[in-house]
Amino acid sequence: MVATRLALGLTVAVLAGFTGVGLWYARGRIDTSEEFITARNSAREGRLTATLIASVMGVWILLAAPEAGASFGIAAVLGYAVGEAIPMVAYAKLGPRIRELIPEGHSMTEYAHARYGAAMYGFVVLVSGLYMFVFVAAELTGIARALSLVAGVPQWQTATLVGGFVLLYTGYGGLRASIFTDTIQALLVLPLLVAAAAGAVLALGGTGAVYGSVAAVDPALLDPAFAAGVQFGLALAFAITGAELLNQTWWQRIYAGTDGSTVARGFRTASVANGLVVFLAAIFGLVAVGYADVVTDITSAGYNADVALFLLLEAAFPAWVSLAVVLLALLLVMSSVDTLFNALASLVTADLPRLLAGPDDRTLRLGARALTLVVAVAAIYVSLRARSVLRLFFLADLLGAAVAVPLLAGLYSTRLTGAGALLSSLLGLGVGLTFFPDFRGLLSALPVVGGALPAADPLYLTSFAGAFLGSAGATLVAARLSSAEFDLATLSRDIRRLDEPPATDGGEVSD
Amino acid sequence: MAMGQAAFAAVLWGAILGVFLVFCYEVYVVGRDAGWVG
Repeated sequence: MVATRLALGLTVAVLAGFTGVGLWYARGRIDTSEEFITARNSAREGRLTATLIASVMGVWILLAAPEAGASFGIAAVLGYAVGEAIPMVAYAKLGPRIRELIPEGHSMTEYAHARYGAAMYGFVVLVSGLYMFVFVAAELTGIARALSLVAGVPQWQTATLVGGFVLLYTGYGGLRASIFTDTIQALLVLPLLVAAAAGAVLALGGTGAVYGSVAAVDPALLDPAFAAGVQFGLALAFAITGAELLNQTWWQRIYAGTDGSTVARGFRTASVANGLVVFLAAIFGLVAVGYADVVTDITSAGYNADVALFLLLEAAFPAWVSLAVVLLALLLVMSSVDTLFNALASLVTADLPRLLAGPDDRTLRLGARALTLVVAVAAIYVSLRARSVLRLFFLADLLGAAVAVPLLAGLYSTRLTGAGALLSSLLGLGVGLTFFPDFRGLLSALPVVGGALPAADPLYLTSFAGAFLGSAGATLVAARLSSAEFDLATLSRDIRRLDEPPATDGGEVSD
Repeated sequence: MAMGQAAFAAVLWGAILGVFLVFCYEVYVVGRDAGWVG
């Protein structure tokens, strides 16, 4: 075990270092609310790709990804990796389209309002906000858990330190500070991950020894056709794809890229990078089963697959390796938490001009910073109180899987209406909830439908696939049956920069 | 059927090499953007 004071010292040093860098970089660059939440056209390919990698690669890759590998084997590892890659591939296509249709946009919620109206807008705010908030709370819970396991650091200290330091530079420097620190963090995380993985394989005696150890404990984990693994892997692919398509983080970075082709290239590279990183992290959960006493029966009181990687560290490696993993975890958590703080603040800030009727830019900047503070304090509080963030994560994933296709189809279909998109989302959500294994008591208590529910799917595949494919099918039908004709050109008229007055219907805005 | 030892080795080292190549590409692109490499 690493000494508590050493781990705390490293934590404070890393946090203070990146906070200093973020504050230094943002100084004098954030003059408007527009700069704070958009950083429009500022990131070239290298910086954009780095932030697309660092934003989503949180401390969860050391906890949830290995958990899937330890519990369901190589098929689930592949499903996790595919699930991370698909949204990036999708946004490589969607990004340039979004920039073309809404050149002065900021967020998916303002698009939802302009394209579909208030009801769908409200639903998208709820789903996207819930997903990102659960994500950031899970990150703080994860890093607190990791440092508690490796070095016995009290969880409240870690969550408060990480949340507080990240709040300092994101509250001041906004998206620009987040993207700049993300670039450095990505360039540190990738080689650290390679060195840790290669070093671990060699220290364990090579791939032959690792294979033998895992095969001796549970050969099914090495079977790509292991039925439960395939089902859970597919479920993860649907869940992560749906949820990540609703992540405001990507919309911010679509506008931060210098142009459409840079955005497309950045997302394509990130799809390969994120898929590989998750694959590598998840496969070490599988490796852990061969060397540590990993309990994968979720009904057991001794269940510990969620910390499989840290059990492997404790069982097979010296303390300095654990310290390197602490450094890796800190870099991972900072890069995703700063992104999510700013993305959550931007989700609301972009809508403030409509909600407050013409506020000046100083009010908007103050609002954005106040929202960042509220998000940070709430996330720290929830991370210290939450009993099972994972169950909330699955619920947020389910909502995302139901809303993603109806929301994004409006970028291409002129016939899909707000009512059609909302009904398609609700239909997908209904299918998903029917087979959803969590919160079963609440669902069964529903009048009329509660008693008629079929058996839940403990591996989530029917639930997530049903939500995603059900809403996608309903969207196609709704668009086909509709006789409406939406003029997509109105999106660029309705959605303007925060420092420009909104256009009136059909009117022009003078320069 | 469980994958063979050679396949497992290829998958594991392939993933490590893949992440390393992504890192090299990212360093190159960041350097190119900054004007450090041609």
